[in-house]
Amino acid sequence: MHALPRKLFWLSFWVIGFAVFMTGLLLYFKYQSVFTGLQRERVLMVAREIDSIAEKNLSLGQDFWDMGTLQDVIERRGKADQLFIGIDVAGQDGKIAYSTDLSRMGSKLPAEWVDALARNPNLTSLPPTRDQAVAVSGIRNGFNQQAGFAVIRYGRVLEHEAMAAFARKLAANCLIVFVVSTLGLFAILVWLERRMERAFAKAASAMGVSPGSAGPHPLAGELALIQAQFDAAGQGLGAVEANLEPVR
Amino acid sequence: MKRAGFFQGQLWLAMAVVMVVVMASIAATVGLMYRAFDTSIAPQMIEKAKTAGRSLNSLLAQGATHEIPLEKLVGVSELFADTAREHPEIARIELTRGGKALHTHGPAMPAELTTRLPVPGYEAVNAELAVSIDPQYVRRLFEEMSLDLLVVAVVTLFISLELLYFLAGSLLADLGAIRTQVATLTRGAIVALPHSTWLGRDFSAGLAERTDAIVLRYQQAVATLGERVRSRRKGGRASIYRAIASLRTLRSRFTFTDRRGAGAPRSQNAALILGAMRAPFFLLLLADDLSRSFMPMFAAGLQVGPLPLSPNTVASLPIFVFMLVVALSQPVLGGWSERIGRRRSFLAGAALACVAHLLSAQANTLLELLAWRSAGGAAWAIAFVAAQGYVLDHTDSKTRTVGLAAFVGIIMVSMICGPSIGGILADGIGHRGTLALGGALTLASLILAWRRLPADHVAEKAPAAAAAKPRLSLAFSNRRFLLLLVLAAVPAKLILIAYCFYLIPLYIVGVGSSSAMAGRMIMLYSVMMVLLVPLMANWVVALRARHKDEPEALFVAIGLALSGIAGLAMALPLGLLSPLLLVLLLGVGQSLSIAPQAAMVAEVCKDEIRSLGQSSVYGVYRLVERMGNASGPLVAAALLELGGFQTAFIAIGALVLACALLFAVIFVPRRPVPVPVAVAAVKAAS
Repeated sequence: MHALPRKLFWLSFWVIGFAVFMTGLLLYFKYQSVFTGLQRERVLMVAREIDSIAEKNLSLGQDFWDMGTLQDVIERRGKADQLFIGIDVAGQDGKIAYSTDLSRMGSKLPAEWVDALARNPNLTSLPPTRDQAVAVSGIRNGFNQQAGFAVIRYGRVLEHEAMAAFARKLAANCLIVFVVSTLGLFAILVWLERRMERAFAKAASAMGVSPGSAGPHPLAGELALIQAQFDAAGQGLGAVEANLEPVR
Repeated sequence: MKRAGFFQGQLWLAMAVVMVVVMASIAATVGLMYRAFDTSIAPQMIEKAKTAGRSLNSLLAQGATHEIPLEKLVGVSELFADTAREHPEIARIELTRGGKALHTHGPAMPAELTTRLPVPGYEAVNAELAVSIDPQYVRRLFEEMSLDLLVVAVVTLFISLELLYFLAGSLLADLGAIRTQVATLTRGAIVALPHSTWLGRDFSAGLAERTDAIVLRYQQAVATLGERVRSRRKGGRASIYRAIASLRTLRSRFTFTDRRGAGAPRSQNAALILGAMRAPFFLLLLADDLSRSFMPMFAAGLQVGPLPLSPNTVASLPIFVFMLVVALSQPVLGGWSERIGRRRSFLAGAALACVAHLLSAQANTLLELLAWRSAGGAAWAIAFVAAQGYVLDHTDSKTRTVGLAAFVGIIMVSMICGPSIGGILADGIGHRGTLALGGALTLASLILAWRRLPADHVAEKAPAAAAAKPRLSLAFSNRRFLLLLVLAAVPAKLILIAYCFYLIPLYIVGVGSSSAMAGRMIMLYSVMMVLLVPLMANWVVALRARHKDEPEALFVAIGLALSGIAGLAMALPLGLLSPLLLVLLLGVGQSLSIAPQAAMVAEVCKDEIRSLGQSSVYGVYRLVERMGNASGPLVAAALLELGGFQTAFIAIGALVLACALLFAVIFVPRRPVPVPVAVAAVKAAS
C-alpha cells in the first residue's frame, strides 16, 4: 500500500475504532447496570417485604427475638427464588436472629457490614464479592428507631454468565461494524483523495506541466488568475529585458 | 472567496464523511445489540414480575385469612398502581377470578409477557394474579442512552479531528501549502514557497517551476541591470533609465522576494513543530479533564482521618489545591521552562502527571489525594507553559495568532471530550479506574512527546530576557485595575469553577442522576465556549467599527450579570432542566465577557504597560484571576454547608450579579480609549 492510502487507512481504523469501542463500552455498562439493577430490585422487594412483616410484628409489641411468623416467612421466601443464597434477619448489633440457614442463627454478620450499616442505616446494598451480592433493608420499631436488618445474600453466577454471553455478542457485532465501517470510511476517503488528486492533475495539465486532457476543473478560476499574473510578470520582465538589450 | 471555497470545501466534505460514517457505525452497533439486549433482559424482567406478584399475593392473602371475598377487598387498584409506578418495567397487573378480571391496572399485554400466580387462600375460586412486563422497557432504556450515544458521536468527531492532525498532518500541510501557493500567486507575489509532497505534487511542482522561472528571469534582469549601472556606459544611459522605470512598474505590481526574511523558515517549521506538540498536549489535558465530572464525589468518599472537615469541604479541596498550585506556579514556570528547554520541561510535566494520576487512583485518604492532586496541578502547569512556549518560540508575528488559536483549540477540545467521556467511564469502571486510565493517557503523552517533540536549540537562542514577574503591588496602585480584578476577573472565574467543577457534579449525582450527566453538563459549557467566544469577540469588534464606540465594559457587565442570573435559575422547580438552564446562561455570560475583559486590562493599565511592560501587567491579571479559580470551590463548599445546594447556587449568583451592577456603575459610563479586543485577547493569552 502506498504511503498516502496507508495514512488514510490508519485514520479510518482509529476513528471508527474509537467510536465503536466507546459505543460498545457504553452498551456493556448499560447492560450491566440494568441486569444487576433488576436483580437487586427483585431481591430488595423480598427484603422489604420481610422488613415490613417484622415492623408490623414489632408495632404489635412483639419482641424482636421472638417473632414467631418471621422464620416461616423467610424460609418460604428463600425457597421461592433460586437466586437467593440465604436470608438473615439480624439485630442492630449484627447478631442473626432468624435465618434460612439455621446454623447461622446466633452468629454475627461480618463486622464490615455492621460498620457500614451503622454509618448509613439507609444502605440498600453492600459491596459484592465475586460470587455473591447482598441486599439490605433496615427494620425500624414502633418508635422509628433502628431495630435490625433484613439481609439477603444472592448469587452472581447468573450475572457472570449473562455478562459473558452479552460481551461475546457485543464483541462479535462490534468487530463486524468496525471492519465494515473502517473499510467503508477508508474507501470513501481514498475516493475523496483521488477526486482531489484528479482536480490537481487537471489543473497541472491545464498549466501544461503534465500530460493529459485538462477539461473543466474546480481550480480553473484560480489558474486563469495565476496565468494572467505570470503573463503580466513575463511581459513586464520582457520590457525590462528589452530596455537592457540594446546596451549589450 | 472561491479560492478558499475549494480547499475549505474539501476539508468540510472530508469531515462530513467522517461524521456520517461514525454516526452510521454507532447506529449499526446499537441496532445490532438492541435485539440481544432485549432477549437477554426479558427473562430477568419476568423473574422480577414474578417476585412482585408473590409480594402482592402475600398482601392479598391476608384478605383470605379474614375471609373477605376478593371483590370486597379495598385499595387493590391503588396498590397495583403504586407497584407499577415503583417498577417501570411492569406494564400491567390484573387480579382475576375464574378468568374474569376484578381489578386491573395498565393496558392489555401479550400472554408471553405475562406471568400468572394463584392467589393463596383464594384457590377455591380460581383467583389469579397476572403481572405483565412492558415490551417497550428496553426501547425506553435505549432512548435514555441516546444522549450518551450523541456525546460519543460528538466526542468521536473531535477526537477524529485530533487524529487527523496526528495521522494525516502531512496531508493537511500539503493542502495548506498548495492553498498558500495559489493564494500568493493570485495576489501577485511570485516567490518560491515550499510545495506539497503527498497531495497534488505535479500541480504544486508546476506552480513552483513557473514561479522559479519568473524569479530567475527577474534575478537575471536585476543582475544585468546592476552590471550595466556599474559599468557606467554613457551610450546606454537612457535605456538603463527606461529599464529601471520598467522594473519599478513591475515591482509595483509584483513581489519577487519573500519579505518574511528570517522569520520565514521559522514559520514553515511552525506547522510541523506545533503538529508534534498537539497530540501529547491533548492527551495530557484529556487525562486531567476525565476526572472533572466526579472528582468532588471521589474525594468525599475518602477517609478524612482526624481532620475536622465537613464532607462538602472535603469534596472541594482537591479542586482548590489543583487550581491554587496552577495559579501560583505558572508565573515562575515561564522562566524555568525557557531555561531548561521546552522539550525537557514538557517531558518532566508529562512524567509528573503520569505519577500523579496513577497515585491519585490509589489514594485512600484525603491527604494522599491532595498531595497527588497538587502534583497533578504542578504537572498541568509545567506542560501548559511548555506547550505555550513551543507556540511562542516557533511562530513569528504573522503566525502567532494562528498558533495560539491552535493552542486554545486543543484546550477546548479536551474540555469538551474529557468530562463527558470521563463521566461515562466513571459510571462503568469507577472513579479509580478512570483516574488510572488518565495515568495511561499521560504515559502515552510522555511516550509521544519523547518520540516526536523536537529538541530545543538552546545554543542558538539569544540570551533569554529576564522573565517578567507579576508585581502584585501593581494591582493596588491602580484603583481601576483593582476594581476590574475584584468586580470582574475574580467573580467570573469563581462562579465558573464553583458551578461547573464543584456544585454541578455534586448536585447532579445528589438528585439521583449519574456522573455521565454531570460530564454532559460540563461538556455543554465547553461546546458553548467554543462556538460563542469567537462570535462574541467579532461582535464587539463589529460594534466598535460601526459605532466608533467602546463596548467592552458593557459586554463585561452584561456577561457577568448573565453568569449571576444563571445561578438564580436553580430557584426554578425544573428538575434537571434548572442546571441545564444554568449552564446555558453561564456559557453565554462567560463568552460575552472573556475577550472584552482581557481587552479592558490594556485600556485600564495604559501607564503601567508603558512603564512595566505588557507581560508584567497581564501576569498580575492572570495570577489574580486564577486565585478566583482556586477560591471558587471553597466558597461554594462553605455556602453548601450553610444552606444546601439552592442556597449555594443562588448566593454565588447573587454575589456575581451584585459585582456586575457595581462594575457597570463604575466602568460603563466612561469612554475608554479603543483597544482591539482580538489583539488584547491574544496578548493576554500569551
